[in-house]
Amino acid sequence: MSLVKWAKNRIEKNRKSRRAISTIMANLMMLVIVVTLSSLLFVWAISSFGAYQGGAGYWFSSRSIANQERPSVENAYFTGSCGTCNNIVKVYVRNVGTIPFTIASVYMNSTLFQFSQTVNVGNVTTTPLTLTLTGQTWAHNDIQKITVATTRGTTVTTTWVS
Amino acid sequence: MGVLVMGVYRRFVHAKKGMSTIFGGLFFIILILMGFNLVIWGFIQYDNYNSSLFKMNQNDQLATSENLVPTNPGAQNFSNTSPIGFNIPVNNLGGTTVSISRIYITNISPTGGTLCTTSGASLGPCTVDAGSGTQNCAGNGNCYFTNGNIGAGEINHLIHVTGIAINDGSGYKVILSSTRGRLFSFFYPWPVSFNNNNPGGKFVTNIGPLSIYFDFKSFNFTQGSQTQSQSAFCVPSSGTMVIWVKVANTATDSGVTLQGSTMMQMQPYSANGFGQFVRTWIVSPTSINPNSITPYSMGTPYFLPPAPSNGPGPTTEVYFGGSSQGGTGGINLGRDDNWLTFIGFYYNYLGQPQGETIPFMDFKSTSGYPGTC
Repeated sequence: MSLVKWAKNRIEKNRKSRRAISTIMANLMMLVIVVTLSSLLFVWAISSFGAYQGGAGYWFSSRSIANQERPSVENAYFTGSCGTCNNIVKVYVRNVGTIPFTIASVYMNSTLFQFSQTVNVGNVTTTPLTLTLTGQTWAHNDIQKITVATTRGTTVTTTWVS
Repeated sequence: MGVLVMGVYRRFVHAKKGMSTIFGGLFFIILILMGFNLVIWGFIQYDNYNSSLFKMNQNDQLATSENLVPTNPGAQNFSNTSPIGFNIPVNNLGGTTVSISRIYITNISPTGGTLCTTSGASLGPCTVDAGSGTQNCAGNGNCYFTNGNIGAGEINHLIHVTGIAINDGSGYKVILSSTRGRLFSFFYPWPVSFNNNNPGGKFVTNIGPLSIYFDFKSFNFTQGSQTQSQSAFCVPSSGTMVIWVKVANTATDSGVTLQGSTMMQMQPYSANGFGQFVRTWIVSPTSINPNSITPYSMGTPYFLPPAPSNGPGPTTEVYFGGSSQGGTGGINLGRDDNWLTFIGFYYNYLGQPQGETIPFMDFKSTSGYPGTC
């Protein structure tokens, strides 16, 4: 009952109001603009913060994990498929880190050999990584650079005398 | 209390600020909280990342502080009867305990056998693990090692390897791998090394597969029943002697067996023409002085083992004191003079006879030995 009375009273006041309709429209427009811009700002902030958190979070977590990898090339054995072939190198890799890793590739000097062998913590490759050279072979007393890379991007480079 | 509540209510009703101000304020508070939350989240992530880095850095520092030093002769206390094995003496000079995770043994000079080669039963390098060991590492069943934890500061710690023996005359490279990923290696037989702080033991001439050392410690002589040799660059001119020459093999692919025709020829400065030479031939490896000379026999020859890949093999003392090939008697120079000396080495290398002449050195004989040297 009181609400109806208040509404009648309000309408009567508005009818007697000296303000023009343009003022109302202006207020309404300002309201719409402010709400719209605020919404845009809010949406932009949410998406930006989300994107930042996603990217940075991925970087931090992936680098934290990759940093715990420690491959160690323990031995490189230079041999051949025949008496004088000098075309095979066997590489022994141990996991001395705190998480398992998967060996993705081995480079001998600049030649790529691909693998997919997972090595658990403290273990050594169950079978040595066998690099079969084609074309150029190894020679006695040469320096050979062997690089082992994991799937997370950790690399370790060692040099050996063949 | 009721008056107070009504007062707040009246102030709110009559306030000039509208709802938009309140919403705006809330909106900006939310934005600030979101930013704050982002910063806190970033701190947490960075802290986790740093913890991981710190932990791994500690591990790396421990690995770096490992300093295991295998000592001469590299391998010792061989047992060639069951159970076969040997010991590896090491000193831990680092700041932390070292645990050996695996031992790799590679035959790099397979003259004594095919153990730990692609031709051998192990088909590759021998890998020796702890505990129950490695199956058929050398074709002799399991081989394994014990006593692989070396405390900081331990000297002459013996790592015992069972199931394999590497004293067959071949040259081996042995790698000790630690649980932290460090490698410590040595060659067996232990390579020749010299102490440069010592005036002796650093002059060498290399011809063919042989390294002949001529310095105060390597070119020596004995008289009578002496067992302690002296430098032979100045010797007595009377009395019989046995001359000692230190020789090593530099060839990695074969040992060298000296033949009985190996001899030394000395010409005095003052003499002119042939017939003035003093000659002496090699005698047996037990002929260390004139009173113990026995003839040289190919039954017990001088065998110089093949060298590892990083230097000459172990040295061998070769004794000269035969008056003829296969003879005895010692050397008697018989005059005061200086002597131009040559050595003819005749030997078997890779199963083939081969010879070489060493333009050796100059030495002096004097009757007033040692005062007039």
